[in-house]
Amino acid sequence: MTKIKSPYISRVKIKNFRNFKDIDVNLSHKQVIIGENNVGKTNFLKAIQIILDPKFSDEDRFLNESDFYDGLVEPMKNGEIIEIIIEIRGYEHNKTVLSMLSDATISENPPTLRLTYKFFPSQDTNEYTYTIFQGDRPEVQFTHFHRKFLNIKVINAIRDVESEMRNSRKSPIKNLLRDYEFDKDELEDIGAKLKEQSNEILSIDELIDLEKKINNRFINTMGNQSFSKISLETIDVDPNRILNTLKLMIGEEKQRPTSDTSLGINNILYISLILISLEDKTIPTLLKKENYIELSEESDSEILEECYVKSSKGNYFLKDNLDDGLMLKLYSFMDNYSLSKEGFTILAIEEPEAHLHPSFQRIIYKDVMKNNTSVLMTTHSPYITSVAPLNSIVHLRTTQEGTIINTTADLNLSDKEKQDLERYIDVKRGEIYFGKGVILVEGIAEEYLIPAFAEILGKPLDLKGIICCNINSTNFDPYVKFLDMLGIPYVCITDGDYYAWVKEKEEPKRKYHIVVDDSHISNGYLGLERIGDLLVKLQKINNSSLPKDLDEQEELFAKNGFFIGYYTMEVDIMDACSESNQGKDIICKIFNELTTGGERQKENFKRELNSGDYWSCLRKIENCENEVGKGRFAQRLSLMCIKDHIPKYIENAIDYIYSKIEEVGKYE
Amino acid sequence: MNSTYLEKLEQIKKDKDQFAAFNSNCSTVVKAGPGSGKTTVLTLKIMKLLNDKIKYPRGLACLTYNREAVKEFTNRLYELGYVKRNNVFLGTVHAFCIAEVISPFAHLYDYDIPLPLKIVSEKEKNKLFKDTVIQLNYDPNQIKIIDMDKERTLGIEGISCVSVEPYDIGLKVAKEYENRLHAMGMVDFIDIVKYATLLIQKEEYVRKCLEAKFPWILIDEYQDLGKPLHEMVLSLFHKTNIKIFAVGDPDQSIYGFNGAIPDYLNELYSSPNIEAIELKTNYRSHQDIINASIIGLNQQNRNYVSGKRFDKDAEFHFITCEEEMDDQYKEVAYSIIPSCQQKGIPLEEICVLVHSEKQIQSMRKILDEANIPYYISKLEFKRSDIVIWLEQCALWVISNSNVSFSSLFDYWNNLLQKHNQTITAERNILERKRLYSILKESIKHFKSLYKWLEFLIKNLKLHSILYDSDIYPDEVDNLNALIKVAKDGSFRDFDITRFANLGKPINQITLSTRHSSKGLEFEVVILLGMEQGNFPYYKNENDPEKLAEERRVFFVSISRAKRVCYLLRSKKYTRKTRFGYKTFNYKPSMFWEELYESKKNLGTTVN
Repeated sequence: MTKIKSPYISRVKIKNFRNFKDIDVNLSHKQVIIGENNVGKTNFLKAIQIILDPKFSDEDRFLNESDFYDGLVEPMKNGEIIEIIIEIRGYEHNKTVLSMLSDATISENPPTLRLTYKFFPSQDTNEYTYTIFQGDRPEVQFTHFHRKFLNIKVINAIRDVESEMRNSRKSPIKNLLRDYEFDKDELEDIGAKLKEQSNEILSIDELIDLEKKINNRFINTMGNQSFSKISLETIDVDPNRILNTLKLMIGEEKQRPTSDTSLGINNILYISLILISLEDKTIPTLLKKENYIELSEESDSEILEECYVKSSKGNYFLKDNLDDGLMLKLYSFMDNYSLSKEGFTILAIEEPEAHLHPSFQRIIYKDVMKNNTSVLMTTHSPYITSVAPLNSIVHLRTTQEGTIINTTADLNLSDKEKQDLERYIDVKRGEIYFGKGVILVEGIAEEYLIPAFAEILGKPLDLKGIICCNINSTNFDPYVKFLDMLGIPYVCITDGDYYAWVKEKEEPKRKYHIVVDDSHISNGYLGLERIGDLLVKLQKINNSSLPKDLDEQEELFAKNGFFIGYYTMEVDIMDACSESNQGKDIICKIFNELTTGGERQKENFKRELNSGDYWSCLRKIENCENEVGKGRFAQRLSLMCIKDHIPKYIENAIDYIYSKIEEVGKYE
Repeated sequence: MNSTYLEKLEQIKKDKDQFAAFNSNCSTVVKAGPGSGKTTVLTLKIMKLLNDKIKYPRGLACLTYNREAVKEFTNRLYELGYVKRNNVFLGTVHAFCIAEVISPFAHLYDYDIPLPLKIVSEKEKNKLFKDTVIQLNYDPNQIKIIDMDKERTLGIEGISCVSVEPYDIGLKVAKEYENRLHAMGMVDFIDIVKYATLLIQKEEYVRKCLEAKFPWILIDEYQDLGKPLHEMVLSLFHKTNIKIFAVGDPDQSIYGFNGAIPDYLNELYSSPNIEAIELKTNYRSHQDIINASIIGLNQQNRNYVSGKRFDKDAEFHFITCEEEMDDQYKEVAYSIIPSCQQKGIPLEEICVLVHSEKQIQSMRKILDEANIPYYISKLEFKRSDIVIWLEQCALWVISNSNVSFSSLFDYWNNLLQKHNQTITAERNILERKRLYSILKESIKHFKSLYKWLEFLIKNLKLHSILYDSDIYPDEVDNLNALIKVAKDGSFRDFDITRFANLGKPINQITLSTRHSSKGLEFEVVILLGMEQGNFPYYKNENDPEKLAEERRVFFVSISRAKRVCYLLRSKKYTRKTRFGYKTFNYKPSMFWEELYESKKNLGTTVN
């Protein structure tokens, strides 16, 4: 269909409503609302529904004391006001909406409508009352007349798709059928033919016999009375009801009715049908003969011939694959002489992932995103968030000032950064959005070990909803920007990568993978340098205030949530347990279990570990001939590690993120 | 479909021009001569558009010059089965400019429009004008407020090629006046139309919204609406897909003093891409009356044909009196009207047309003496929106079948909101109850309009609501004028039934100026003051444009008659001159002469 997008909610402001004290966020055409349970995702939708949902009753819009922001004491006694403002954009191409809502205009560049809900004590009676008005004009009300043309439909998290599909009144397929104007005569004609055809079955001898049997039996019981004649009938042929007999079947070879299909497939089908029913119908895909003729009388009607093809019954179908330019022209023609009197519905889906296999979750999401309808969805699914465009995130978080919302509609990343981040946030890392806090790490080993260390330290990550996010590189930059924008607390743990300057063929060169030694005259830490550059680039610190002294640097970075080791994590671990025989024994034991090497190699490993030659140990772990690998080693260690293994900088990082979250947690 | 609609539809199907106008599906200009059934075509067209062409929630706008005309076609629409619907605007151009252009959009732009609109009262406006004239050292006799306002409307720029010679003094006064008015943070009605036109011309978004709401805009009495509306229409016609349906008659353009000239309608009529239709059948008048009116007009190609059958012949009476207007008044009161009555012509089918308000007052005295009941369409107060609403209230009080309480309340609610009162859901219910009980209780004063008005105005607290009103600055004074008329003026014996039917003569003759007679029709029309120098006014005789307008006034006057015309003149008038009072002999008006000649030649009845 057309590329013309439906109107969307571009801004939401909420004051004193439930979880929200005072929030003001910008949104884009598609929104993914994320936040833990009970943070207020449903309330956020509810705020929008109070203004836009036609299913809400007057009573629903009439709030009460418990709907005020929780932090207010006796709000109604103190005359507090609940205010919800939404702004709408992307509507100006459609005359139906313009004609109903132009009074709500607050700006024409870009064209923006505003609707305001207010729950307040009336001046006259001092009793609370509510109003919903358009634009800056309290005297112009927004009522069900207007809501008919711009509204929201919410598909709840708890939904019984099967019964909705079966329900003849609410079924989305019935709704879609209702959008057409069927020719009564044509239906009646078909109905009569159907009856005729199906009556043939009654002439089968078996059925004649059966009917006779039933009748005989019945008459024996009841006596020969006028009502006691029983007959067999085939189908209902009332032309009004013949459409009700239509059923959706699924499957190419073995067709099944939807009632026999899996819940997952049904969910997808249900949402798809709803999306079809919400499509912009300004351009009809089927034009009835008489409408075509009527439209042909208008000027510029040549376009009809270009875009429609006559069906065998004399009606007109929209041609497939018309180019965009033509569709735009057709849209404006149809909009002008429109037959459609429908407005727009913004769709909100709560947890579309319910009952869906991960791959289906992504499919449904991608389908929704392609659609012209503006969609808000709440989700707990990392499969969905991992494919959500970066600027579509609405992130809810609890703070002392109630739930606050950060959105990425105004996210300002360069194209390259955007690509990077989108690539990083793949399936797995979609969970970055769900953390109350995030630990950014650079590799698989950290991903295994840091949660285990936290556990040992008595600060389990799961308990606080902290997520350890492995970005498989040291390019923290886009992540940090993104987390800052979302307001999610984070720490970065990265290797120190100690080096010393040596001369090689007269050229000064950095030498890595060595242990600190007094003989190193000039040395440094690549990790510190990387983070220093990053913090300067992100303007968290300025270049001139970067201390020369490396310890001071470390301290400053730690204040910003960046924790840097000395070497690489495994080496730092070995270093940490240099004084602990138990720690060293565990490491040796793991190596011995994992390696395919001989006794001699095991002996060497133990010796090197005891003598502090950790780089050699690490080489043995990494050496592919031994089939150990950093990953396997870390995985095993994570099950057996003890406090002695924990490098100080990692402990600091865990303490840091914990305290950040407890700071927030105090107010929950 | 409603039966009146079907009946009227059958009727216009018989007239191919009317039917073509009814069916047109592109921008159309309909030139509609007197009695050509334009209101029928217009109202049927609106119904057809709303039923068949324009899908809800889009609607249409139908604009005209004054409130009486709005009331007239709105009532006609209800009779045709119209049901109130969103985005259907039926009203005056001024109301349209405020409600559909300035209120929703002016705040989005920076055009120095003082917002919220505060409209200057007539009193203040007069004073401001006088001060301006004095300040600029002009002779107050040289320029009237109406001259200035005319220059202001002509000042608007746009697409039209019609050019009008500017009046320099008027322009200068206009400029200074506007500066001063705007410095006070106020506007007047001319500003409103000008600002609205400017917004429509300059702002695409405004046009887009209007186009969305109103795929059709219909305009009645186009010839009376002057330049700003013409530019507004041209702008919408050229820059949007809005279809224009303009109805009017250049020959009935008689408000030149306002800046309304026939050229604008003619310009639109001859634009490319406009369907031009002329309604030529006159369903009101006898063919002889039609011919007589055309003679006065002195224009080519006016081939109106009577579409109505008469049992009796047309009559033209040329009556020469001795001295002064008084003799003519007496002739009317003591001879013409009694003779009409003898012939069985009801009083409400008789109309006396005079030159001025002053002459109406003089005629009234004689009619009072002769005990002839009369109706004056122009009253001592304005039939403002509020007065019309009070009339509707009266109608509801006496028989609540003709008006719905909801519509009365809607207006009331709107009035309160416009005067800064927030109406919440509960307040709405309270106000509804209050209005209902006050109106119900007011029945006890049914016999006396004065008492009823006083009761209502007091209980509704109208004065305090309207005190210092931004949008109805003259309404308190106007209501006081109404009360005065009801207390000891011409309405003193009125009950509220009579008030509810204001605007219609009931067993009364009608007394009107020639200019105010537009749109009316009578079996008998009596034209007074048909002397040379008086009609046309001697200063206008040598100015071709002004003379042409005088001819149109005569055309309008004669074409009010269905069958009978009386023309009266006096032979002598005494006038004050520099040398004291002198009596002059007056010759018949050129219109009298032309008509008399033609009648004599044709040998029709001439008395």
